[in-house]
Amino acid sequence: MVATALTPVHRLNDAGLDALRRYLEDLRQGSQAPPPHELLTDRRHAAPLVSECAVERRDFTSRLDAVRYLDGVLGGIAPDDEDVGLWSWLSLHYFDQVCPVRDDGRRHPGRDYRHILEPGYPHGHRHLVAGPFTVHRLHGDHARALLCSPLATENIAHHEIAARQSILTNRALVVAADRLYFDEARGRLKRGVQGSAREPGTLRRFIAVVQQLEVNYDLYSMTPEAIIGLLPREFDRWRPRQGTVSD
Amino acid sequence: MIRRLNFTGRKKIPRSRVRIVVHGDELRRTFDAELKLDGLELPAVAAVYVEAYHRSAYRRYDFGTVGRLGPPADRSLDGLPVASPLFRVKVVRQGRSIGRILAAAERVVPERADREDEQRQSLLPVEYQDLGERIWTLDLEADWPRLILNERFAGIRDFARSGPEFLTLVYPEILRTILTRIVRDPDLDPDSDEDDWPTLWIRFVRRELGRPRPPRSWEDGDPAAWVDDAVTAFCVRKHVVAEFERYLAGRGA
Repeated sequence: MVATALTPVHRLNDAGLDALRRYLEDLRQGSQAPPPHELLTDRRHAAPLVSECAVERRDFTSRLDAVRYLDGVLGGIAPDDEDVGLWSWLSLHYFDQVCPVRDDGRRHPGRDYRHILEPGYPHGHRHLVAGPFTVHRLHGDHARALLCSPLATENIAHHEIAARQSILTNRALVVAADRLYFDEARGRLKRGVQGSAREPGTLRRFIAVVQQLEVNYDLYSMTPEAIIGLLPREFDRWRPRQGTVSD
Repeated sequence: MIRRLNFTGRKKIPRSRVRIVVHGDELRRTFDAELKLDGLELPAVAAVYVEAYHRSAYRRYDFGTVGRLGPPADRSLDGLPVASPLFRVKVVRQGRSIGRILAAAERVVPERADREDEQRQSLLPVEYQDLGERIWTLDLEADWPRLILNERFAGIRDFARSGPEFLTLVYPEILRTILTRIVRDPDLDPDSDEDDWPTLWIRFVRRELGRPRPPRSWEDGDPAAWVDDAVTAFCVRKHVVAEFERYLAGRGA
């Protein structure tokens, strides 16, 4: 892990957001320009937070690593989920990690909402910094199955679960998914999780089965164990072995 | 059409027993719920929850028990991206670890406190969003069809309600689109739920436009022809031709 000097956290203003938007479009057009980090502290494009806090430009091993760090730095100021300027600033600050240079020598930013926050549904959870931060704020390390990928990558667990607020806000379901699909030894999702909704026991099947169970069961009021107990036999290979479950 | 059968014993809470009113403006919205659960043979200790949702956005509120209903202090709708989300009401028997739904009301369309003239359940709720270069769109992907108007235009609400352009050019097409969805989608069964939107729209066609129900199979008739017939009946009922002629005359055409 490489740590560098601290940068006071700012908020991009409209001019800063426009500049970031132009940079993202330039990248999509083939530009190989480095991230415009000069915007981060330029008064024409960004304003410092009233409550002083600062971040290092460091390498994170995973989204979980990143949000644990940011929670420590930002926790005192209770950042707003919908603070477009703040989260976009953080994305720009960590741009080498949210949008690294690939083997073809280019960065591939994807849609703007991955870097410039569009609050709420349907795109708020897709922001590469705000999305995992929100998940971690809801569930802490219980959400490690959703946060075990690199900062630039939204893994299937995050993609499928964070997109459905009725599932994301249900701690028992998030913990159930963690117990089924997180490989503690390797610190990542188990192999085979990524199959389609037609394949038995995959995470997409879990989502489909949960949506069926919701017809008759109030999953919100149930424990993770009770939810796992309701799952059909196709999930047997994923069920935690007795004695290995931990809170 | 597929007929859905209830194997679970879960009761349906009649729509007449649920009234939800949304208050406030864009900055702060809340809701009130009137729930009449007596006489449904539900245990007094069963928990009652109200859920507000729009597509994937969701919030849940604890309303106490059947025998002792009590709304929570916080009934804000913050985080839901529409002015009038749909609601559902659940009555849950809490076991030791299993919460079984005993009764539910689904897809409840709320009333708007600022729309006293629209107190009956709206067949076509209206939302206002920035639609860019479009004036209107019909959202059929959520649980209840919605007409979405471009909020960039002041006065568009009144324009859509009473303007001849919408009446003659837009609403017939909206009706066609919705009825076509109903007759083409095998998962939509107007017979399965008298409170659900396909049933209400068919009821509108039968009662307000005097047309028969849609054919149940190709042997009974052509669904596309039924849709055409319903749209024509709407145009006749609303004097669309006369309205359009008057509109053109007013423009000097």
